[in-house]
Amino acid sequence: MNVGKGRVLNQLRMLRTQHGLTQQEFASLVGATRQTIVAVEAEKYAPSLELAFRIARVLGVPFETVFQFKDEEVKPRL
Amino acid sequence: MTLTEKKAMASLLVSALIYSYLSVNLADAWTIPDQSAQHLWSTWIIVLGFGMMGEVSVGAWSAWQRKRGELEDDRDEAIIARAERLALVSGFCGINVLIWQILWQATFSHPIITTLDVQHLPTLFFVLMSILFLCHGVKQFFILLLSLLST
Repeated sequence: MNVGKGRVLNQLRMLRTQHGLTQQEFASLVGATRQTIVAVEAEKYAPSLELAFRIARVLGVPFETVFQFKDEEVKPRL
Repeated sequence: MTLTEKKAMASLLVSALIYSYLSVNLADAWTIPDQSAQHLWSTWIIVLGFGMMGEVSVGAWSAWQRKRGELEDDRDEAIIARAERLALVSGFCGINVLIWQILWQATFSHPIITTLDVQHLPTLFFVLMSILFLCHGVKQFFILLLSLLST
């Protein structure tokens, strides 16, 4: 199976607010800076695998509940 | 502002101050006059000393900040890596401009366009030092810019 380029999407903002955590509080729990959490939530930065697992663990949800991989649509050649 | 951004800002300010010292010490308006070898040596040693003192101070201050709970994480490392690549490219370009000047002067005895006098050692010294500062400045500048763009 070939997997092409894509984007890492996430539900971090929704899950974090459900837990009643501020970005600063959540950043402290996962061992990252507040700016990193801001960037991840805005999907401007795809976190490292380790940070992504730490995020899922702190939220107490499976990895794929937080992060999804969306394939880039490939336009067929004419 | 993250610790990485604060460090980049401090480092950029320190290098700007040291480069000002270098410029004032070597340049006269837009030209580099003749300098004695002793003057070049002392300038280089002083610049090196100030640079080391500045970077050690920034490093010590950031270690103190880390003890107080400030963090540097994966995103900071990714930004630093990208900024370092851009600094490398700028250094590569700077050296190639210098090489181009040498080739130009080797080819034509009186080049049509203005060139740096690379046969004049104080000028060559100043240009090479400027390229070093350029690389460092580009790195710190892009750390600040990329941090700003990714939040």
